[in-house]
Amino acid sequence: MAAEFEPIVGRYVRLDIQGQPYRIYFEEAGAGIPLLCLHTAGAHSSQFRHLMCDAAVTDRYRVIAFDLPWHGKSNPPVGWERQDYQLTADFYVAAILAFADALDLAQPVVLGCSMGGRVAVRLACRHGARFRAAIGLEGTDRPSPWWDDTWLESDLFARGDFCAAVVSGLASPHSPPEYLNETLWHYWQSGSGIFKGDMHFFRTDSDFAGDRTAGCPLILMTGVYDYSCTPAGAGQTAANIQGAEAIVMREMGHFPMSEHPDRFRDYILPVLERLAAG
Amino acid sequence: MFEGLQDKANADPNVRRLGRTCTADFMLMAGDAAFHVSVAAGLVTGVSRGPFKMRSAAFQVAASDAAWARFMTPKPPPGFHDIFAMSATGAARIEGDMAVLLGHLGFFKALIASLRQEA
Repeated sequence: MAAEFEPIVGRYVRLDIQGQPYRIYFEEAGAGIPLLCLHTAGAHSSQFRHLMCDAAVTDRYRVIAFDLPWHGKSNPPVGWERQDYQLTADFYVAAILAFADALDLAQPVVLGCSMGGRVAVRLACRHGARFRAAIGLEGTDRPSPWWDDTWLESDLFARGDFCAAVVSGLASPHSPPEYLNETLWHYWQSGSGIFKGDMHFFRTDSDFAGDRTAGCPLILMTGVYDYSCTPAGAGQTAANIQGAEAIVMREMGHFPMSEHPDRFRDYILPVLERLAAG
Repeated sequence: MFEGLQDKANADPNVRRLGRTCTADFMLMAGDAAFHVSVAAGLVTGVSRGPFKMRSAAFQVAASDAAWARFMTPKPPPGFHDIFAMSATGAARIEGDMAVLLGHLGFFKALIASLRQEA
C-alpha cells in the first residue's frame, strides 16, 4: 500500500489556565469557521480524526481538537505526582476559553461529546456571546448516573481496560467493529485515574439544570443506543433551555464521531451547513 | 437459555484470552430459571440449571426470557445491547459481589455476548 498522509496537523501551545501554566496538544485540519471539538472523559482529541479528514467539513470549517490537561499528549501541571486529578466545571470552562483565546478563535462553533456535550450546555448558557453555536453530542444539562457512585472508589478505575469495558456498552451494535474498537482503545490509553477524575465533573460537578437560556444556538444530538445520555434526557434539556433543539440519531451510540463516522455525517453535515449559512 | 454457553464461549479463543486470570462462579437468571456458571482461568468448566439450594455464586445477572432473547439478537434494540444497558433501563438486575464482575468486566461481557446469534 502506498503511504498516504492525512490532512491533520498537530502541534503544541503553551498557555495559562486559572493562573497555572500548561502545555497543550491540539490538532487541526481545514479552513474557515473554527469548529472547536471537545473529547469525552478519559479520551483525547483523536476522536475527531474523521471529521478532520472529511472535505465536506473542512472546506468550510477549521476543525480543531485539543487534549485537556492530563489527557492524550497534553501535559498535566508541574507537580502532578503529588495530587489526584479531578476535573471541575470551573476549570473545564476556563481551559476551553483559554484555548480559544490562545488560538484567537473568532466566534467558533463548539462541538463536545459526552462530558464535552455537558459543558457545551454551560458554554452556550453562560458564554454564548463568544460562540457562533454550541453542539452537544450525547449531552444533557445534568448528571444521570447509570451505575453506583461507590464504584468510583475502586482502584479499577485506574485501569484503561476497565474504563474501556465500562463504556463499551454505550456504543451501538450497528457501528463498524474497527471504529468501535478504536474508540475503546482511546479509553484503554488513558492515564491511570484520569477517567475517574473526569467523572468528578460528569457525575458531581455539572448540574447545569439552572441554565435556562442559551446565548447562542444550542443543538443536542443523541444516539438511541446511549443509556448514559439518553435521547429523552437530551430532549428534556432542550425543552428546558430557550434556544436549544434536540436531534435523535438512529443506530448511533455515545461516541458518534468516532464509532460510526460515516453514519454521523448524515446528521452532522446538515447541521454544519445550516450553521455556516446562518 | 444458557445451556450452550460452555461450548460457545470456550470455542472463542479471545474470550478465553480475556478471562485467563479469572476464576469465578456466577449465576445467570432467565425469568425463574437459574443457570450456575463456573469459570476457571477463562474456560467455562460447567453450566448447570437450577433450582439450587444454597449454591454459591459471586454475582448474578437476572432478566426475563424476553429481555435475554432481545439481547441475543445480532443487532439488539436499544436498551438490550449490553448488560449495563439492561440494568440502566431496569430490564436486568445485576447483584452480588461487584468486585468480581468489575474486576474482569471485559471478559464477563464477552462471555455472555458469546451467545449472541451471528448476523
